[in-house]
Amino acid sequence: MASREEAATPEEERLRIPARLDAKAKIEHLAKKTIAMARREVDPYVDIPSRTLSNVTFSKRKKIIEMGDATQRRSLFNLNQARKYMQTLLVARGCTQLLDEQKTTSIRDLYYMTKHTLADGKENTFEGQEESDPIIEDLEVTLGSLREELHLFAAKRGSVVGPLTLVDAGDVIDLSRMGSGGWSVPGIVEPDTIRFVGHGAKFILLVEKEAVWARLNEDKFWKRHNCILVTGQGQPPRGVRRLLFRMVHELKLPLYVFVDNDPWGYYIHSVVKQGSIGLAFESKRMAVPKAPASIPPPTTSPKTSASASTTRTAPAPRKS
Amino acid sequence: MTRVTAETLSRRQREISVSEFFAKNRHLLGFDSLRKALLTTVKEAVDNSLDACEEAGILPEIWVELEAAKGTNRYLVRITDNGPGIVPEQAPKIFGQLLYGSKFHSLKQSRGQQGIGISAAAMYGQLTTGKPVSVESRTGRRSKAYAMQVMIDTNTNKPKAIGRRDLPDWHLDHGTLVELELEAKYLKGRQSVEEFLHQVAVANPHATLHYRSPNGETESWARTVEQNPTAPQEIKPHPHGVELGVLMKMLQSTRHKTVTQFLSRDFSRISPQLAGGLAKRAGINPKARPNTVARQTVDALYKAINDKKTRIRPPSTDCLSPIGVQELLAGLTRGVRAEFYGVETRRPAVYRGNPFQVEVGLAWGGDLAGDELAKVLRFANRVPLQYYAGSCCITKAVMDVSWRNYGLTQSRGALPSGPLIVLVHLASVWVPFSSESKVAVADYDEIRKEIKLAVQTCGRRLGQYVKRKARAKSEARRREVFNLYIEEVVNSVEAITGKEQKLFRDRLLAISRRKTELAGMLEEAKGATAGDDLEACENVLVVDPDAEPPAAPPAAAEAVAEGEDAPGEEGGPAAEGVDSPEHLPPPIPTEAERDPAAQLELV
Repeated sequence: MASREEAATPEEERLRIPARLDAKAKIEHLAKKTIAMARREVDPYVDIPSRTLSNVTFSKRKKIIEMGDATQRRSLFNLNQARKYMQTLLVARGCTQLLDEQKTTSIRDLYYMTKHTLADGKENTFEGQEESDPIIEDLEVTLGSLREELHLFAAKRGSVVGPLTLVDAGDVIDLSRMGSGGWSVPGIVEPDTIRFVGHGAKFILLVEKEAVWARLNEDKFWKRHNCILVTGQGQPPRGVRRLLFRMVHELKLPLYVFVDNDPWGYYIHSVVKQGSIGLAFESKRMAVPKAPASIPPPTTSPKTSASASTTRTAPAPRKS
Repeated sequence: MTRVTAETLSRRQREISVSEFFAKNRHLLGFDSLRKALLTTVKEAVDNSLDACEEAGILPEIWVELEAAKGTNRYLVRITDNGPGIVPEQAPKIFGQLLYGSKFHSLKQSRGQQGIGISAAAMYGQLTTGKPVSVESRTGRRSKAYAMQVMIDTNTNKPKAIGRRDLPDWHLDHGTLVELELEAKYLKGRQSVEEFLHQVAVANPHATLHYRSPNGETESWARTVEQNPTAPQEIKPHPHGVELGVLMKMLQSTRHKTVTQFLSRDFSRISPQLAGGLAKRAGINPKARPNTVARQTVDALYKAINDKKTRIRPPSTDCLSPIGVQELLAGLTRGVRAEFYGVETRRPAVYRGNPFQVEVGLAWGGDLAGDELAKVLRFANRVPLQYYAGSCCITKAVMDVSWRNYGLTQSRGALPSGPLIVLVHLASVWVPFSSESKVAVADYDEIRKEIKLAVQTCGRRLGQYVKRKARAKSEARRREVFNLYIEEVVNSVEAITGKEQKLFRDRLLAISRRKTELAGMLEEAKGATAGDDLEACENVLVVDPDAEPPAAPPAAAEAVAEGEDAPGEEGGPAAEGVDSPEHLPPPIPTEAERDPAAQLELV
């Protein structure tokens, strides 16, 4: 948990969640804090490190986006925050259940686990997954526990193909023999699930578009250039970004980012390089500051088909 | 072509009788349409009945019956009251002579003023159907009831009594029955007889009214106040209200011997010293006989009276008899099912030397339609005014008020819209009507200002209530949300800690109560007024909108039945109305009662 350094009152000190605890103990701590506040007739609240633009800084030295110390108070007895406060505790409860049963599930499943209609019969605890996802992230930063520690993962997205062998949940997988579909990247790619065995690649190429990735796979681009070909299907999810980070650091391979020549493309590149505002607390585990972009020059006809433009205009990757 | 000589012309010129004039100008008296004729007839008869009852100190009970008569567009109007009755000698004049009455020459607050009303109705009936007025009356238990018919000679303005006979067995101890047949049209809805009676009921909570429509439907309004209004006092004219011609006439007809005596005794607020001073300033010998004062000198006297330097105190105002705060509330609550009632009585004021007093009542919410323009109920000396609303001073004054300040919507130059009724009562010794048919009040600045001020005072209280209500509503909603979420939070914490957290839940609910205090106040003291200032205010009544409608007083239903067939002695049983104190807000809860958090502390 990113805590406020400046002059914490004794009360706040007592409320701070000790970092040494495991996720389950942290959630229990949170619940007990709430009870303690009610006992002292204090409006119960949670201080959540704010995941906003104003609370991130770009570290020039590390070249990544880092989260600041600002927190946002979310209290039960504020009409604008009450719902989110209630949801935060619901998600915490859901995670406790997962931890108790030693199961892991998707954030979508957690949404279904915690969703129900309130007593008035009119309102649901969550109206959609887009409401529950940010709450999960809030809980992550508040507890200082990563998603996987809470036994959660995001829907898997992204594919990999190339001269790489790894162990995924005990199965040895050769990524050069994955056919046209490639190996899909799971939501959690931590060492206890994924281990790298060996590789014959010279670099990693992250492709924005899945269609482009499919084209390059069909053309066996990765075979010709000895690279690991990855796509995140748009903005790469956490699993893909974490996998890229691990490959860069553990396999000592350079990473190139091949994106469209448009604002979305630039943004995807920046997130891979520096991290995002929303997940700034994860930057140090995911950002790859040395990842040059490989961007096709603007063409006079934006309608040019992907296959034609990519194979012909994609410049050979340069070593930086 | 022969030149018409003055002599020939003079042969054609002859006196026009008043009744002849009005026969031709019936619209001036409110008989311009068939529908209005019916209403005017009922109105004049009811006015007379109420005035008579109050003057005699009898609690009024009036029966209004309409029947379709033979022939198209003919109706029979029968109005019976339990008043003091009419001496047989007077009856023909009252019903058959225009401008005959007791009120024209006195300055006193009363419904009738000119002595035109009922006789005009009689004449209208006679002109349209050829039928005379039937009158039955009895002046007391010991005297005999009689019946007679009255015709009017429109040429001479003289009444003619026909077929007077004694009635051996009349159904009331005292009272009067008038029956007229006239050409008219009966329609329900706005400006109908029903609406008129309804409004009479609002402004006269001491009167019991019974009504039967031509279709046989009956309706009754039982009295909610068991006391007649204090009888208004007659006053002498105030010098500022007298015109030159009247002054001349008064000088001629006075019985006082000197000008000083005349001035100080025939007018109010002129002391003998002031009278002497006025005479001197006008160049009149104070000892001169009033009828010897020359015309030009009267002019000088008139000027002296109206000179700015002349200080004459405003007329005394104890001559007025307003409806009163509690009575108006009682009237409003029996006539209108609303949620908020506010009443304001202004102190008496003066226009052109005539004392007047304004009372305003507001009814808001409840059963009133929210998407329409506010309804303005206009009353002059307790008589509802139903026509020419647009040209009436009262309507204009209500439109002058910025209702938006009080949480209502209002288009420019229009009445506010919303579930609102504005009742305005103007009491005066001489109500300045804009025509003889007494349907609209003339626009005097002083009157308009007083009405506006009274409406504003009520409006402010309404605004306060509306705002507080909105706030209380949102507080209640907040509490609902909090309590809903508290349940989830407690369940989650119980699941996380694996223990039941009863105390935790109680604490959270206590905090929720404390946070939404005002909502709690509203729930605990439902039916009471919301707000500190309003609570202490006797001019305001708030009715719980969710409560059952006040049960119709059982006595009222009996009164109808008896009223139709055989009204009991003393004009039917005194109906037990809804007792007004029952509507008063319950005592203000004490601090501890109101504050659940405070209670918790005590425990």
